Amino acid sequence: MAVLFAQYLAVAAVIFTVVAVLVVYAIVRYRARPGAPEPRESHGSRAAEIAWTAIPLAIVLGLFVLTVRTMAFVDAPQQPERAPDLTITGHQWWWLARYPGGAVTANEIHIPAGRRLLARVDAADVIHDFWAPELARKIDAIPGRESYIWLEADAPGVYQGTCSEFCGMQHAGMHFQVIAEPEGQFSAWLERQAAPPSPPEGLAADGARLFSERKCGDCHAVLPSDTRLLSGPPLGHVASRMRLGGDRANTPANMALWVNEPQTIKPGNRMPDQHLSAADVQALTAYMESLR
Amino acid sequence: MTTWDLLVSGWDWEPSVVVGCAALAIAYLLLARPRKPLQAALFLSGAALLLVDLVSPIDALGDHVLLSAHVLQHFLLALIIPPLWLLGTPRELVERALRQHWLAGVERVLARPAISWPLGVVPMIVWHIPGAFNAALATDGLHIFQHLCFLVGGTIFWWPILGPLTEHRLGLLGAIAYLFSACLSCSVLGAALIFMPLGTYPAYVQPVGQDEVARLVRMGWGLDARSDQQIGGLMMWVPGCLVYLSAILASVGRWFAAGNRDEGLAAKASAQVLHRQ
Amino acid sequence: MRNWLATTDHKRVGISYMLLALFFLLVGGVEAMLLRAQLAQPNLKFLSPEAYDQAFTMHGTTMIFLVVTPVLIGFTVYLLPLMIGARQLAYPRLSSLAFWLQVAGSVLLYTSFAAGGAPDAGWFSYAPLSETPYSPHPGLDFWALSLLLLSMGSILSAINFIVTIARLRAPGMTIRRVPLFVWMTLVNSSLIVFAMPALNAALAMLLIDRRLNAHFFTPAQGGSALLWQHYFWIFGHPEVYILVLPAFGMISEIIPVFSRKPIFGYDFMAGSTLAIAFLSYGVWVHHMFAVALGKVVLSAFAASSMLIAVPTGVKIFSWTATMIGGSIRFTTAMLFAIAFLLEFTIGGLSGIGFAMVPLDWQLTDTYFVVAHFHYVLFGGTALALFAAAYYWFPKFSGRLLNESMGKWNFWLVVIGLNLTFFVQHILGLLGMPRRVYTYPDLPWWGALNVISTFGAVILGLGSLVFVVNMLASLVFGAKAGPDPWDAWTLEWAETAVPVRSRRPLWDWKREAKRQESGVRSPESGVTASGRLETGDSRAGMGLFVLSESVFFFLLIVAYEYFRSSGGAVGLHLRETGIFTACLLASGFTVWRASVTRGRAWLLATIALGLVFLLGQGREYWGLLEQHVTISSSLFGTTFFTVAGFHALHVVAGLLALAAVWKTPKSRMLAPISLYWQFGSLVWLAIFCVVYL
Repeated sequence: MAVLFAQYLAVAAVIFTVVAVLVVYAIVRYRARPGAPEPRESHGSRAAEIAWTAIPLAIVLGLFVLTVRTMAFVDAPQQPERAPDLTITGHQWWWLARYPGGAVTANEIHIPAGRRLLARVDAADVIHDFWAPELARKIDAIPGRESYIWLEADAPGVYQGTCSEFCGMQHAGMHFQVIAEPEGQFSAWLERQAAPPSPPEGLAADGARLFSERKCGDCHAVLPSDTRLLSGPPLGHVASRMRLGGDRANTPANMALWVNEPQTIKPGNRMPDQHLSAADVQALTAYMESLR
Repeated sequence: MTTWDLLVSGWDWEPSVVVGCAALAIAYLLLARPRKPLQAALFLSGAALLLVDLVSPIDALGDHVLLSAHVLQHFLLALIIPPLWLLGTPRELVERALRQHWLAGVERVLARPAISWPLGVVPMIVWHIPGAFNAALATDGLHIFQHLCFLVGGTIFWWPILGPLTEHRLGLLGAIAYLFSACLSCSVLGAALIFMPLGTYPAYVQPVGQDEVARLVRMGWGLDARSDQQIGGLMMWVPGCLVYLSAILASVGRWFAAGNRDEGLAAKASAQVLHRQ
Repeated sequence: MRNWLATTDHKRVGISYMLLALFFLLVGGVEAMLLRAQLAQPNLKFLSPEAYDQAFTMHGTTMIFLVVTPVLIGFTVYLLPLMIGARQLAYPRLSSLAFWLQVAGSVLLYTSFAAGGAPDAGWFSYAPLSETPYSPHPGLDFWALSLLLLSMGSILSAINFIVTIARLRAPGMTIRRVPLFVWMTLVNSSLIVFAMPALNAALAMLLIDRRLNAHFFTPAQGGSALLWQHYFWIFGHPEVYILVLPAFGMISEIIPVFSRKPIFGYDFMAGSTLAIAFLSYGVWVHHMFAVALGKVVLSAFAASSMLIAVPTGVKIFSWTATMIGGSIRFTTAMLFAIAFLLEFTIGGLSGIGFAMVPLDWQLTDTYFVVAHFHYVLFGGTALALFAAAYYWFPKFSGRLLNESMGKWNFWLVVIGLNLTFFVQHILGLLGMPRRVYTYPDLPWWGALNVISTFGAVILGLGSLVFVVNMLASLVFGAKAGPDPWDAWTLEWAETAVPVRSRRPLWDWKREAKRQESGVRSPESGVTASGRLETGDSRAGMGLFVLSESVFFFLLIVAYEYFRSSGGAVGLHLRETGIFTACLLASGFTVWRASVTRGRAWLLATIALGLVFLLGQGREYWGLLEQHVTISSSLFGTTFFTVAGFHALHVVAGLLALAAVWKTPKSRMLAPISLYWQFGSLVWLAIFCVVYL
């Protein structure tokens, strides 16, 4: 793709230079001089017209061939013959990732490095766009439609991504990370994410009780087996993620903010401020921290 | 089967078609007595194209396996061959023919855009209605009738644009409206084909009876039924529109050339008048 | 003042349009400044996300529909009759109506601020974000309604222009001799007539979804989010050409005059305009390349999108070739025109990048797009408008705009424009998405954004200089004669001038010089005042009917699209067939009525029309009894929308027929009869699709 862009840029630069040179030549050479006669009337030249129609036509044809070739190489089939390796669903304003083995997570998508994966992309509410610039083309996530892309990281690392179709108030905050890791690490991660979290103890258990009393589960799933379509991200292994909400570092302080004052972090998101007592915030945060 | 095999063996030299095209060519050379080689070349290439269109692998593919091949066949019948014929017909031949009163009457009626436009566009639409299309695929007689509709209807359609009697051609604005609206209909049809569900023309989803060819198309060329339908629709749309657009631009070009001639004459006239003072 | 409010004089209507547009330019400019202020640094809290979303939606909507569209119409309303030697537009009262529709739509849009918030889903309001569950507040209803009013105004203006050009040209002014601005107007108006109905259809469907709980665009109930995209962009792409073709026309007038050479290749300029208009209907999917539509479809639209660059390039070369060999005077107008050439080329070249699909897959919806469209709209249309203002201001006001302020205006605007928008190409390449109220502190993002904001300030200053120049020159400007630039086209002529070429005024002036030197001129021929017949109404109605056909066509397509979701229940074929026959018969009776001007035929038509409506009413009642409503199912939605709009058109027709009852000899009967016949034909199409 970089090659294609370089080719395009070269062509564009050449064309612009040609036009600019002609324009500059015209205004320098043909500026009005006092006493100069009225210029000769020239109504056009068939040869010139044909030349500057035919040459751009040829250039455009060349670009078209390059385009189709690159497209064929980059684009995934939209009626694939095998099941996708993962399904990515856009929600207002977070990304759900579900794997065939039952692993489910939000905003932090793990993939094995060096292998090309088939990802199915869709949306739960409005149109979003999944864009991890270094790893894949953009793809619109449209509710009611399934779309497929190839996702491939050559080397392990953390790759940034963002939503790329205006989807409402927190479109700007709909970031995600794709973490590419060696196969072994990836399988281990999958297993962990597919397993239910260990039961909470102590303060975390108090938090768990608050969680169910305040009906947080109406929007957030904790068990990976819970496949309901909910408006909030799954929290089963939230403490193991690098970031919270795709953006902020995963620290207890930020976790506490998300638990009680989410509107200060992402104003307009679907979780209202909770107005909890400090003790309740501590308990819930402890519970969240236990969901590793 | 490979592509080469198909190209070599896929020809079906239907006698009636061969004889018909040959007869057409011979009749042209005898009756029209074309003086300009370009004109003769145009007409004869039209006839040759007709032959190829109907006996080459395009026909075999289109009848049984590929919707896009069938669309290509109709495209040639309606949008390429008639213009070639019309451009290749010398004016004198038509004038001679029209000395027959009844022929002149027929021409007067058919040349009216209100008649020629529907005769070109309506068969195109009607024959793509799934019921009609599938029936034509199944019955030979109906299929021949379908092809005749395109060929004859196409010729009548292009008469007010490219016909040899230049005084019966449409003026510029009329030509633009005529061609643009036809292009719109073509585009709509093409777009419909692209977005219609897959089973609209069931014969092409699972082609029967031509296993070798089908295998070549699906495996060798990688064309699945959906892509085939999309290409068919796109062929109607994009190349179809390009044909109409080219005709519009050609009309514009002709019109400007005529205008420039007039301007040239007017300028000479006024220069002469000035000179005389 | 009353004269101005009630005027139908094209000069005054034109000026009113331009002043209205200028006002909203300032408003839209303020909105832009707010956006750039918020984006100057990462994580600023100057605007909340809600405020930002409203600001960028209103900025885009304002600039496109409340500034560029009316100012281009205003210039055309003023100049078109003059350029072709006509005394008036074909339908003077229609031009006034169109102006007031523009005012109404503009005011309605801004009323949204007072009614719960402006629209905030972007100027193209993708569904389902724009649907009630995700945008419950009424801002989007205001958006849709005001756009409906505005687009109606545009369509009426376009019809006016086409009929004016077709019928009111002075003798000798053949279509081959019209100024290129007129030619571009003709093509542009045809684009408007065929493209705006797509917007109207989409807006109508959105409003029906939002207010009547229908399901056109809500996937959760079986609707299609993609359908909105298709319909909007079928309008949206021709729209961008609608915004730029008149600017091309203006440049085509200005460059030759200040180069003292006629335009290079008039034929190709005209032909390439036709090609662009034609092709513009076949490229819309390039706004949707990020949707997985399949290689075949994407390749086809990539090809057409690249193809449309060729005729545009032809124009750039023609303008440049006009300058070469000429004798160039660097007035402010010419400076802007030259800058236009370069800036628009940049915009066009960045556009080609998007036609290359895999590049689009990285660049779409980033600041690269924002850069692209601002280069073509600002670097293109706006620069052309500045040039046009400096060029025609003396015509409008009798005074010249000040040239020194003009140079300041020019340099501030050009420097500001490039500073603001060139860096946005780089921001896009670095991955900054568009429509974000803030962005993370990534390397270079803050720096480039602050440069862009700085550029915007300079651009704003430049625009202010323009406004000051205008106001000052109105009072203190040097008085201009009727022909300050020594131009060639009829709008500069003081008296009637015969038309024998593309440059009638030049011929006339050369003649005058020869007369002075004692050479007798040939017979001066016919004078160039347009024929007085203001408006063959049938022509205008014919165009209106064509426009409405596109509207109905798209509604029928929507019906057909959702047909497979079933639910077509409870339709009565035979009864409706009879009522259909009645309506078709009324088409015949109305024709007889318009020919014979007899009341009897008129009565028959009205009667048959009423019978038809009764039949429709029965059918609707039957469906309602079976609980099929506009919101119960997709069948209900599409059926009631298509049939309902048709019924509304029939009602309007009946009212028109009733209005003519008193005076059946009225000239209005012919166009009304045409409208009525169109109504019957549309019903025939609907009947075939729905019932057969």
